[in-house]
Amino acid sequence: MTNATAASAPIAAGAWTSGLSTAEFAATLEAGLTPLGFVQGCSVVNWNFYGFGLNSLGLGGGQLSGYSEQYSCPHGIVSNEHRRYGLNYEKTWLERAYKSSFAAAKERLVNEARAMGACGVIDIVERTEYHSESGAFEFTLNGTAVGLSGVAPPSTPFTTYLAGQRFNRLIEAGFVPVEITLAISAIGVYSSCVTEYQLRGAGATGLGFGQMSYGAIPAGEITQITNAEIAARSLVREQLRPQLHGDILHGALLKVRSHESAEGPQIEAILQGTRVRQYRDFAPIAPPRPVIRLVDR
Amino acid sequence: MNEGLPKDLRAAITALGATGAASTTARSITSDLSIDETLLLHQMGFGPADLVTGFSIVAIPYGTFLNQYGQSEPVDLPGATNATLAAFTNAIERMRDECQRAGGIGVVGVEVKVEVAGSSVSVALSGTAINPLASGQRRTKASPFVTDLSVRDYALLTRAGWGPLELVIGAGFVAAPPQRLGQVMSQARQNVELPNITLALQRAREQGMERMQQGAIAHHAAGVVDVTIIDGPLGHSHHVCAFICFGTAIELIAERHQLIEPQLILPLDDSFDFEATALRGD
Repeated sequence: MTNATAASAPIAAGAWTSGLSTAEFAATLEAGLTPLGFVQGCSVVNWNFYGFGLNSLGLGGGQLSGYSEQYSCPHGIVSNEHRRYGLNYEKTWLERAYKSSFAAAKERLVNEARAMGACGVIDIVERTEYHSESGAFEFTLNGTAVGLSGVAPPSTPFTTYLAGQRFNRLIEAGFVPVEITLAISAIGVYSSCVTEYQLRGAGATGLGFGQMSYGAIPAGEITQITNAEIAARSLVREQLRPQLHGDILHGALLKVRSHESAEGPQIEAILQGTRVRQYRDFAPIAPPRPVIRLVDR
Repeated sequence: MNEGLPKDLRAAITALGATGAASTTARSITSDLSIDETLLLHQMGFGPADLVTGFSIVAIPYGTFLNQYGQSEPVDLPGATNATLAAFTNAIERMRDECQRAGGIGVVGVEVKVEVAGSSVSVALSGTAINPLASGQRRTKASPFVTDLSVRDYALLTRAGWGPLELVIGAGFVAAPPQRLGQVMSQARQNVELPNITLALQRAREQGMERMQQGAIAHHAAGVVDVTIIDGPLGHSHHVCAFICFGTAIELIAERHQLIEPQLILPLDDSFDFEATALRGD
């Protein structure tokens, strides 16, 4: 059966659906794949910024786990309003909620594809939304299940954000997608007095910590926030690496966002991409020829 | 049609195995490169080593951005300038350390994000460390390079006989003096040049470009390519003109510059606007 007839076959039983563009559809047929149907998975989780049993500092009846770093006040007893310490802490409860939401959505997407007898899901598009009125977080994944004639579908269909020519070039280059992966790290910052003053730009310059008195804040790097940002980037990569099992994370997207709160910045780093595996030795391409396009405008 | 592709895909799906379990225990690699960039990098004899980052936030001394009353000339703001340079330097060094730990010889395609807040400046970097596929291609330099050039630009630069040395930066912050009341009144309702802001921006530019050039000289570079400029009055302090620039310092690694001799092509696929109404003769 040719690729064209394979693609048209399901129409007799009932037209297939897909999220592919026309160009992606043409490239999908070129690879020998046939669209089977538009598949979806979603999950909505309760989104509690402070975790069960924790106050806004992440402290209280609950127990902190994961990364944390404390910063002491160098000023001694100043006033009741003066912050006596600062804390960077990992919001593991947010990380768990985000990851479980992604995992559930992915599992539902894969189950739909498996039920269709698909070998994989391509062109995955995600949507995340925080519903503030209900305190819920929604994770939705959409994609197109595809089949391949002449091969038994794997027990777990592959998943990838790629489609069209990019997917085809990945295969030609000797890599096959395994699954989409995601990791998140969430760091809360309860600013110390020094950090708080530095963020306001308050204080004198040129004084070291040893010489510092109340109100005189050193210029230079804001250590607590720098450490929190570095920890967010480092943790998210540490958390993702075990999911790769020796494979490669291809086309990774690292998103770091920070929003202000009364305590200090709240930082989230999300790393995602397609886990790919090399299925044959890499064959180098010929050196590409530099060209100049002659165009009107 | 490419008949080999479906065959390749069947082999690939078969290789995934019935369970989809991993086939190797090698160290996992993370990379933000596209498949085209990866292919081009492989063609050059390199591969991605790891996704690496660098970050720093530095406090700007209090009062730096206050209005400069009583001044008639633009006022340099070294506190803000030095904070920006320090944030860049710290972030680049942290990225270089990560690259070294990943065994990379350099970082390509570095994405640079700079934010000047009311009293602090932050720099966030992310990119992919690369290493040679064959051990014989090890770079002789002790320290990995950092460049914001894309893999395509890196390939083109190398083919022309040049190599990246370092991401060099420049910054200048200058406060425009407030205009006297008489000036404001005389210029009211007239579209005339504002010399205080013009001079401040010009001085900030000169300082920034000079510092970037000094950085290139310190690295014994021949020049700087692909310079990105962020300039203009600060959103929160309109009288302060900021000029931040960064680019890749390069050196000649071949005996002489190599001509790449690009081929001229005339595309036959002209784009056009398709208007269905025209077909109907409306």
